[in-house]
Amino acid sequence: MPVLKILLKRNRIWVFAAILAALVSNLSQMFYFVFVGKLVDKIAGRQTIEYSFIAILAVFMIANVVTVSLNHYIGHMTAEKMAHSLRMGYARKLLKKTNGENRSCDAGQIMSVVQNELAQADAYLGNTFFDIFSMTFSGILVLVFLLFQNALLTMTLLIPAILILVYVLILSKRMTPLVSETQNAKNRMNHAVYSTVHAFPAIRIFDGEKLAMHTFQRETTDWVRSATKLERRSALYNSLSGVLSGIPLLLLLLAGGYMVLDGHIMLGTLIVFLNLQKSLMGFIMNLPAWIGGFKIFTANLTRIEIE
Amino acid sequence: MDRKVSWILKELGLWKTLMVVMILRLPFDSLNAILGANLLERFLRLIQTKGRDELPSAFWTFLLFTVLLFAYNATVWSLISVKANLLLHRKLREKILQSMLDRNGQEMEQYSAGDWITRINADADRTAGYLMEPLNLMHAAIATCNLIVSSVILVMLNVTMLAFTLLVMVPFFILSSIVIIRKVPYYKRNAQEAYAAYTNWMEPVANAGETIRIFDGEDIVLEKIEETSLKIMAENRKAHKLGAWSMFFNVLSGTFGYLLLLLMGNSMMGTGIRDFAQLMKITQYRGQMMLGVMCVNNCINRMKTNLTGAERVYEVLAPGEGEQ
Amino acid sequence: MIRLEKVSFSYDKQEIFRDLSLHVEKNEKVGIVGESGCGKSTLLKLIAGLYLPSEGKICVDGETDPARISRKVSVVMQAPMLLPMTIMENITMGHEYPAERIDRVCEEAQLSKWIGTLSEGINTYLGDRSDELSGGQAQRIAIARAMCKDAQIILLDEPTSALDAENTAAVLEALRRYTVDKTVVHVTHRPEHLKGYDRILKMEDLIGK
Repeated sequence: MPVLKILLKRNRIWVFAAILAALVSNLSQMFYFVFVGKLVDKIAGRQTIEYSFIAILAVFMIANVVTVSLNHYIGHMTAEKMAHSLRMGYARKLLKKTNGENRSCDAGQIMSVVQNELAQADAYLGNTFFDIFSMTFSGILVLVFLLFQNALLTMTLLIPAILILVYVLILSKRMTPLVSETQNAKNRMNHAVYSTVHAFPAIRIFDGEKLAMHTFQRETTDWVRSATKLERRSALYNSLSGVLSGIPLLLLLLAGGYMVLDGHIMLGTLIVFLNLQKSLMGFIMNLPAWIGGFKIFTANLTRIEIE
Repeated sequence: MDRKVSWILKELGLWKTLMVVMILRLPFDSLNAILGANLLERFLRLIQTKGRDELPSAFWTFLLFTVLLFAYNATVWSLISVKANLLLHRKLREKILQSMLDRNGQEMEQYSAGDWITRINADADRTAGYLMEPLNLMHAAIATCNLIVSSVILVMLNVTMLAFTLLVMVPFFILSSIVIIRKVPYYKRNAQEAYAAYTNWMEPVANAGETIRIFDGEDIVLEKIEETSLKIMAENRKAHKLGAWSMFFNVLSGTFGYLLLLLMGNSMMGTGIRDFAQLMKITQYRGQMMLGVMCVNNCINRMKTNLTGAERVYEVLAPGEGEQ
Repeated sequence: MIRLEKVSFSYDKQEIFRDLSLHVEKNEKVGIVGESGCGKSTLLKLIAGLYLPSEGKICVDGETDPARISRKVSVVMQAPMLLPMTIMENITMGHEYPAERIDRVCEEAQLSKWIGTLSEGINTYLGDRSDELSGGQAQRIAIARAMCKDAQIILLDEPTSALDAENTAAVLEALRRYTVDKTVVHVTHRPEHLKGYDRILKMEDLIGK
């Protein structure tokens, strides 16, 4: 069974609590925004705002604040429990290796796993895993909620966002060779420093300072050349992403504006969309980075056996 | 800017270059905030005044402004900022290496080979990071500019609203981002130390597995490892608890401030605030102020980490510092 | 008590030895000598049930299951393999033993005097001070651990290889006294450490016998 599945199963009560907390906190956030939308309708329509309405709004606001904080705590604790299971599972696996198996486990390899794969997976679980889980969960719930509010307006937001996502994915693929070229050039530059420092006595004795500096400058020039290419392209791509990410909001205001004017939706509903589109867009725009991080995490887990 | 970083910049002859880059990049966040707030105001006013026919022109106008703003950003970033950043990296490394090559054997041995390599590679990166990377000095300056511009615009729009915004934002910010979060790095460090203890235990597990098996010691070893693993979890739990409290006050400040502004704005409609669209514009600037404060706080924390690298570079380059 | 019949062992497709046979009777003390790298330590680990043979049969005190065999033997290896726990925990490995037994093994392993000088005595934590321990002290703790298990079969893998002459003599003396009524297999490349043993065999003589 994959390690992640074992970890989830072993901590199923915590995982269930985390899912429940995420569900409750997102629902309370949505109800809160619905009431904010109603408040906006009252303000825009110059209607009287009753004290009872403000009291209900205050209750939803407090419920939102409390559940969001609880969700943060329970979610992170679930990830911590999973990290603990991972650490203990790995130790148990090593200790409970049946007689005869041990020749195949090399101490150096074990320590390398502890210091690299296990440490990275542990840090990922403690710091990132829950945030991704929570934002993905929130993104999906917001999407469903918005679809129920108004499917057409949701699609106005969603379709350009998906196109941007595809654009970002293609760009990140196109950037990969440049990133590795720059990283290689940087490694060469760093290696030149390493060689110079270690050869320092010889450099002093044979007056090789100029040669050492020249070698270093040559490597630096190479790195600067490829880094410039990478950074410039990344500046252009990121700026273009910035422009594109503004389009869904503009379309939302344009299409939403027509819908309000035609009486299909209330102004408050548009405000709900404006408030929640940040969660949805954040989820979609961060998806490629999350997928990348999650892939590294699962790749690390494949090198860790647990009992 | 830190005194030592400033000294390094002057030594490299890049002070003016960095200032030019900063001045050119400074308006971006503020202009973006102004664009966002006016976009919302314009559309909501058109919706309220039934300006149906003007909606497409508003769409194209704001799209054009967005394109222009990001084109400006791309130009400054790709033509000037990238060049300055890489020049900084290059000059820093060359300067430290030159400083090393100018020393005699005894002076060189003041630092170990590994230490020199760290100073030329990693510490140079940290120093450049302090000055140019996101969430460091450059971004702190940009966020501060955005904060000031948003506050000034809010003063011009409605002083009472600014007063209310500050009244709600400041105490909660101090509580959540300064008081509560203060001990988080301490707990994180403890957790790291506990992880080191876990690693220390894994070493005998890897090397003395046979002895442990022969003497049936799996249980006691697992018990000891569990102690270290539970310690990691306990320290992280304390950090997450504080994180949750910090989040509680942050979200409370955000939602409470937003609601208060809407209710206050409603009562001031027609007297201090023109219409609903302007009220929404005010909420946008309030959001930008909150964002600015958070961003500056994050930048300061990140800068502290990179400053340790800059201090080590200063130690090598500044005359007389190395001998201390 | 110990029977190895035509045992072969390979690791990573490399054959360490082939058709090795060895019979050791109860309470017999057998020394095995051979050059470094000839497979002496591997042989002990096979007897201890830590490795599985590629071919052949191993029977120790009537047991053929490696996990059960491991429970019936006690081992002192070249490196003492101390764990970051207290001296007491290193000796007992977390098992409940009567206090008299622990005192006795400390006495027999010549640890009592040194432990008496420590402020926390036998509960001194070794994690922080294992660097301060001499090779002799560390190896004597490993011997005390082996004695505490009180197994009938004792396997010794060059237990004095890292010690100076004085410590070597003390450790060998402690082992000699302890193993009077035990079955012992001692592998070493120094035959002078096997004085008083019933049989001294050469590693090459065991192969193809």
